[in-house]
Amino acid sequence: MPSLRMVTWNSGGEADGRGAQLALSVNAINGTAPAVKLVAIQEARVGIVPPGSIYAQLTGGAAPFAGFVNPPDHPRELNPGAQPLAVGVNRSYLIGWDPTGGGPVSAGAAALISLAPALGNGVEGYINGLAISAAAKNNLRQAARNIRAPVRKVMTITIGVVVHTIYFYTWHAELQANWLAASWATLGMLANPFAGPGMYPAFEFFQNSNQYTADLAALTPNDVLIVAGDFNITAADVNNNAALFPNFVGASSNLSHILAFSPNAMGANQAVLAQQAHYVTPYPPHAILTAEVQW
Amino acid sequence: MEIRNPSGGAAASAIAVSRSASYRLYDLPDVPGSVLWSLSGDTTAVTLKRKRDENEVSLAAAAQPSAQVGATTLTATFMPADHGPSTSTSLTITVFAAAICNLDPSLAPSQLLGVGNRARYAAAAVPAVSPVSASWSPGDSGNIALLGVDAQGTAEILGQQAGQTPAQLTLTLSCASQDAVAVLPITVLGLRAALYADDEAAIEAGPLLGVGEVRVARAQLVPAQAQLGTATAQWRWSCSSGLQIMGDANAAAISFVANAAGPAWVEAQLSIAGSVLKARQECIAFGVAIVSEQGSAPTALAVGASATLQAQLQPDCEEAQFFWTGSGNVALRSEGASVIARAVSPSSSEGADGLGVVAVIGDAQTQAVIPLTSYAVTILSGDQQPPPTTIAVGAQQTYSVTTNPAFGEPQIRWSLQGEAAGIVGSSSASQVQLYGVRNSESSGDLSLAVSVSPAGTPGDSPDAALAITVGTPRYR
Repeated sequence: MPSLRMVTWNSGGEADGRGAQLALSVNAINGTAPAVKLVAIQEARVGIVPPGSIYAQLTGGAAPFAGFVNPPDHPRELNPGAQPLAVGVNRSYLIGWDPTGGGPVSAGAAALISLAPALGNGVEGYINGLAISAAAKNNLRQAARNIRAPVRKVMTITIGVVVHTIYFYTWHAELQANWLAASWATLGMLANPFAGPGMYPAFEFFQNSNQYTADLAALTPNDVLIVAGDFNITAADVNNNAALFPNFVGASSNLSHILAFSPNAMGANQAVLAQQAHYVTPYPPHAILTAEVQW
Repeated sequence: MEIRNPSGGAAASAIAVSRSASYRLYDLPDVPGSVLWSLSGDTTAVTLKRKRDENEVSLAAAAQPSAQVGATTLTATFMPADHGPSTSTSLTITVFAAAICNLDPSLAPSQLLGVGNRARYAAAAVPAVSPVSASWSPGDSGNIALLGVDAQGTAEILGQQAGQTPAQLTLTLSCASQDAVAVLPITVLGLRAALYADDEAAIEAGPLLGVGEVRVARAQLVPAQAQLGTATAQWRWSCSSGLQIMGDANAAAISFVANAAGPAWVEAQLSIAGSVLKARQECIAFGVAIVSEQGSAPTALAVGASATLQAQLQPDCEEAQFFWTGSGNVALRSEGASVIARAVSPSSSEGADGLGVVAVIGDAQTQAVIPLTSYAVTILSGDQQPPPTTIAVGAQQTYSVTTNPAFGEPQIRWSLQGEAAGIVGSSSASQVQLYGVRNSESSGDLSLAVSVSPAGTPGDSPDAALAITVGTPRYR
């Protein structure tokens, strides 16, 4: 059975001892096998000269990241060129992976997927299919173009002759307060479905994006789709909203989550999460969340 | 014979720890003889000190109290000089200490007290000698105040101000003219909440924040070096309705986001050692909206048209700086809170272009964005072909209007200048019918114009016009 032990953390930057904290926690996690082979950071620094403390850990060649590929993937959370109306401080994702010892092999650099609506694509289809005013639709279109989009990275794990594809997404989901004109109310919902501060339409954009639906369609029983990051919603929000990642299994800590889905021959989810834990850090509000995805 | 105090009063049957008491033997037999003093029972609790006058002794109490009441017996024996029968008298003695206790005897008295909180402390004698009277003193630190003492000797203490040096709560317990003293150091804790821009910020943020901004709120104990010992701290944050705590509200530091403009607050509550401490941080969340003089801002502009828009702060709290952002198809000319947006070329699709403004006040900022579709207006024939520019007298001709890109719920208004033709039917549909009434005076003297605007947006100025000739012009 393929498995991937991973960590996700919205570190809120890389200042102070964040890098050392990550290493400390991953060392502790690695105290029980298997070792962490994938690390996804949200809100890492954009600049790498000089490197932030987490970037330095991931590229330092020392335990627990000795086998990690250098450099890690480092896509920005926002793309100012394509998102002129993006809101908020721009940070970066950091994705580190360790292909040694049966770890995942990268099939390409991580990249932001597009949530921009365009004629014929899934996001536009979703928005245009809503029974709401033209103005409300335009607010949603504008938000979809300019919010933080998920980052996608495809990796593989080969066991024997079987290649298992991992469609991995990490995401620092948008805050509703930044897009009040495209909030849950825009969709005609009578009440905010979330206890967390996240933006409901953003999840619809993601799940209706061509890339995500294509990846879901491409999944074979050998493969897995993982979504991990800071969703800005709680575990109850994920569980109570049937439209959010249906049939995924998940591990959660506050606003951070690791979700996984792998279809079996019947189309049901055969992924399970083991060794779930979170490590509280001195850098609130997010803990370091870990789980082993088995499928 | 009787053992009394040297003044002849009742002998002390209880001695406070580390104190002493004197005893004298009275009513001796009226014969020559000598007096022998002795201790029995717990002889470690007191030390007998003889005096020059053999009829008198003093007892010095140890630092530890007796294990039980009456544990030590002091005996005076009179032995006549003629070797007649001796006579004895005894007195039981208890060495006692004062103790400051929790009202629940299974718990230790709390040495932590929150500012504004009250705590009750019981007085006890160890062992339980009686009768006793208790008096309390809060010391002179000013950190605690003695609110009162009830009939059972229980003191109620108020935490008045936080202090690095513990307050000294002193109990003086009196029994048999003996005073035992107990002192309990009490650290008075305060709580303060402070806001920071983010986890990395070392300097406190001001009270202003913008809608959509995240702040980190940290609660700090005062004094910061307070020794909490084994006390368990339970945190609970709350906030006003316009703010939202991001997830876990049960930590010393939390993050929150402003969802709405207006006065706001976050409050930390710490439950520790029976005290509940609260610290509230007031703040003001401000928002900004893009509006036009007519009210709501337009959602689309015809190419060539412009709109004057304003950034409206709520609440209008301070002088703010405004930074406007557009996109390639809309040109901006901004001055402070005002901007003139002019559509210069069609948007690639509806909602693809927009206008944004960031309002900055000090270190705080908020933003508003609106979709602003730039569209071109074209007059076509009824079957979407290039429009005919001639109409025969007595004939009808259908014209239609299209926009590029198309946008939802357009508001259309056709108008005609010239008298050679008239509009038949509606002038507000996407198609219009013209009827040629008479020959034009000159070629192209009839002007068919159309104004297209988003629903709810005034749009009287023509966005496209077509010159039409009816019949045969009188003047060529």
